[in-house]
Amino acid sequence: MSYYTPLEKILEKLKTIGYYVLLIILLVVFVFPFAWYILNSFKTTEEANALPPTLLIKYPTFQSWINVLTGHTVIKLPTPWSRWIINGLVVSLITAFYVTFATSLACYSLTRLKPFGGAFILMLIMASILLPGPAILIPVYSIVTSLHLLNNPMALILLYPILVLPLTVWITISTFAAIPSEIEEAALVDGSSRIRTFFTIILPSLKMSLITMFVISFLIAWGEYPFAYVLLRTHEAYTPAIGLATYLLEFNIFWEEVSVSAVLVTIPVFILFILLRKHIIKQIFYGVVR
Amino acid sequence: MAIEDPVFLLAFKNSLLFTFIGTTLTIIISLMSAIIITSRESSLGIWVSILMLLTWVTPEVVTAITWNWMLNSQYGIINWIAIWMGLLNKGIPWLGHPIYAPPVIIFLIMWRLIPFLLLLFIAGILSIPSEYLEAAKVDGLKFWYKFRYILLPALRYPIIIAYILIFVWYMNDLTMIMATTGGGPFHLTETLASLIYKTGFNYFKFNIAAAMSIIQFLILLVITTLFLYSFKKYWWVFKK
Repeated sequence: MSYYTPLEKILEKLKTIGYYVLLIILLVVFVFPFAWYILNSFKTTEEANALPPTLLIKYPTFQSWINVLTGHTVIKLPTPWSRWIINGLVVSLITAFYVTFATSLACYSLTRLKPFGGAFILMLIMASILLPGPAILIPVYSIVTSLHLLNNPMALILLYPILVLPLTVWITISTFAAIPSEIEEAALVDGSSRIRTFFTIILPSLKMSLITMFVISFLIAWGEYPFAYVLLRTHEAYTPAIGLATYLLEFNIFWEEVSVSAVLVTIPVFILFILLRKHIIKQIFYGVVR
Repeated sequence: MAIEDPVFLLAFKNSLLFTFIGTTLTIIISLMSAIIITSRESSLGIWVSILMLLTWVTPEVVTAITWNWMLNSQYGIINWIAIWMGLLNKGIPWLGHPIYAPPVIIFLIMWRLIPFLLLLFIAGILSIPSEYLEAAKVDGLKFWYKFRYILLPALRYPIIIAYILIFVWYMNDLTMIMATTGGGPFHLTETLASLIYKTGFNYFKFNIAAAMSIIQFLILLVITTLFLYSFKKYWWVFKK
């Protein structure tokens, strides 16, 4: 089509090769660990512990899946795996619902009602994105102890919204600010109350943002490790993330069963993410890049 | 006194060093990959980066355990691949080796954050009005000028946000260290975060751990101030 000198043609070829090499390197480095534990969950005990390890499965089997799902693992677990999953689901779902509701209220009131000192409040919320982490581990631990909630997943339900809310506010507030205020004013003029307008007009028009908030808070609550590990020390109270870590540290010979559990912990997150990838990515990056 | 404790000083140094190196490398690698990926029309690159975001989406403890297992000196797949390719004679205990453990930890935390940033930068580059890039193409602009005068100004804001956010996430990261090296050989991979955790919940010295958390908080406070300053763009919400 265009006039390329031979040198330019070679350069163009090299660029194309470089592009694909980069993609392959990225795929291998970033996706290989997932492929590795998914592969291992279909191996037999002998093969999973074989030296050297096999990259491709020689004798594929569902045995370890059946063992883990029916609770007949090689070494008996102190608490059935399903108990941990239920704990995790309860904690993450309640956190997700609560965060979605609270974030939309916060964003609405900050962008629409414009309270006195609203910018300052927003800044405080933003600043607390930076706080979560080891620095508040100890205060949180002593508060939970004095509330007598140690070893109780309810403590996590109280804690996680605090960790997640700043991030969701940061991601969604510009979407709230972008709704044309004429729509809302029209509803108000027609005699709809503020609360009714909020529930029947504002929220439905932000369906995708709500779903994104829900998924993000679910992801964070489902995988959170340090706080859950400090606050829950009995087997019955574990969430899947700590359950898996403890399982691995205690019985780290049965790699194929550990892999199955790792896949089980990852599945809810994988499904949510794959189903909603477009909206989540669009929302996160709309909020951040703009 | 926490201040005179050599382990604390080592952790303090490690925290700052790891965070600084890791954050800078994360930004450079993801920015470069984003530029290369968006240099082609095909959506293949974007699909790859969406798939990569699984590292950020998966519970951190799962990825930490997987890496712990893959880097093991006896049955770790990484060592076996290296041996098979003839790079090594004998497996290296990557996470227990005084020379290799710190870089490996820096890499592991980076590994988790790069995909997030990569997509952020790709979204940033794709939001540049296409006229600019077309004009650059028509004029036959050299890569460096395109980078300096088109991409960098457009990505200025995402880069600032990313730098601060990644800095804080990096510094607060506890799970990866706890589930892989646990502070590592001779405290060489100890950071403030893991030291606070250990002092508080393994040795039950809450007062010393609290003192350490205040020191970490002060470091983060400086970063927070920068962060808030970069949030100036949100003030328009209130100016209408």
